[in-house]
Amino acid sequence: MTVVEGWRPVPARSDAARSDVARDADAALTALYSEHYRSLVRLAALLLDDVGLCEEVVQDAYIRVHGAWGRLQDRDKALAYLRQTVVNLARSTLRRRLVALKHAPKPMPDAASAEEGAYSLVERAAVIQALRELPRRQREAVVLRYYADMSEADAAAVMGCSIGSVKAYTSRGLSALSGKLEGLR
Amino acid sequence: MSALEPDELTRLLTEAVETIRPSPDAYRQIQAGIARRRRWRLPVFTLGGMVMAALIGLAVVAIRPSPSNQVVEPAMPPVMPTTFAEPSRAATVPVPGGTGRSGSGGGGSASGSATRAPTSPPPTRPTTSASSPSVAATSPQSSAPSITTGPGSPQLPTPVAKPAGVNDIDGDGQPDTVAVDGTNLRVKFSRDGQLAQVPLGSITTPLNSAVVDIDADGFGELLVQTQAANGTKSYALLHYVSLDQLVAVTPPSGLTLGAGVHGNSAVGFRCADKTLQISKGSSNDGTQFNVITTTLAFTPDGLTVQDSASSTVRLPADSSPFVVSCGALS
Repeated sequence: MTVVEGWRPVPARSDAARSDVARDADAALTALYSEHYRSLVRLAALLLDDVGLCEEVVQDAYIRVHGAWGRLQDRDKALAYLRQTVVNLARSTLRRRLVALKHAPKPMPDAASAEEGAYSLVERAAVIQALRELPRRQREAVVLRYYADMSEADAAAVMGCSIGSVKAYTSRGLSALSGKLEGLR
Repeated sequence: MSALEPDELTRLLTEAVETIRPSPDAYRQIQAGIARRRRWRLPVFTLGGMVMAALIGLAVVAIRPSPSNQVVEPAMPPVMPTTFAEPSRAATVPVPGGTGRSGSGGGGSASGSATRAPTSPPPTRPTTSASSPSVAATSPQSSAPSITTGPGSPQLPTPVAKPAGVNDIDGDGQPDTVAVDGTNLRVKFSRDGQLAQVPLGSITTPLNSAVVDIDADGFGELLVQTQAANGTKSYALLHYVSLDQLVAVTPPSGLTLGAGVHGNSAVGFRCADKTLQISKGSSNDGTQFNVITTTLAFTPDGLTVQDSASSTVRLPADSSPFVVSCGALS
């Protein structure tokens, strides 16, 4: 297991007082963070309109999975559960952003930081721009199938729809992306 | 337009997000979020539990039936004063020598041969009158029904013993005091010390009364002699119907509460087996009487005829049924 940057071990006195489930959740969370945090952030960046929110969404997903660790029936599927939480939170965030955009003017952008510089590169990618023009479900299907490399069944489970729907969304999304990217080439 | 290959799309997506690097304090932020969630868990759960308990308490209070203060009426409730009109049929009491079948015994204190005449419960209702403000006279001459209006369904306290004890009218186990003031009968109840005043047409002095729990309901009935004329004594029967309230009860039409022989007519009554038996005799020669013994029982409608029997009594050879045999009353 790789050492997590910024990780501080919990004090021994507090550690003794916590239950086995909490200790197990802490250990599993550390492992999940080390192995999948980066890919989940990138997955969220493809699903969200605002790349700056992707880390916030993924961190929230980790916190929720940690809180629900005792209720997980199959802990080997913690990654799938975490990925589904990311997708759900991305949906919620998009929904909230749509409502907020309807009622509030967009604030002036602040001075760009180094991270935002990296984000701006993402924003400028043609495929990202084309992806954001897709309907939400088509975007989710394309990202889960071709970026997360998930099977149709796994994508259907994460999206909460049937395999046939995933096939249809993927096909339409792929066709739409082809047309958009062809125009940009 | 050339179709976008899946592999090419995967490469494009990977390259697009390849520049994203997680922030160095991401894990610390997650840990802070977990600690914050853990810190708020206990207060939130406590508050939620309190809210839930309050809601359950409110629901219990809302659906709980209010405590009933109604007094359960006994199996044989007392007279319920009502307003009614007396039906104009007095033929419910069988006449001697009617279409009865032969039976043994006179059903009362009368001796000699007897002819039993079974009767169905008559539709007639006894006269009841409230103790206040006006009470129908209970003399033998005032057997006509009176129309009274009662205060509603009576409420009785709980008796301590059945039948009631000596001179216990209100069922508290303690004797009650009966006094006379002119034509008013005053009863002081030992249960609460209240004084009930029952106006009667007349009351003999010195007071001749007795408390007898005729129906064995735990509340004694009060028998008071009202008149003594022509060798016949008249009595009034007072029934305890609710707290501190006595009601004068008169027997059904044609029957009187009296004792004695006057010429060719005679009357008497006795208390037996939770019933009141009134014997009414008539004679041609003043010695041999045809006696009709009517058995009355206390019902919610008052005194109701249960049975009737006829017999023949020869005086003074046979024991006379024309006396009062209720407790200490004679």
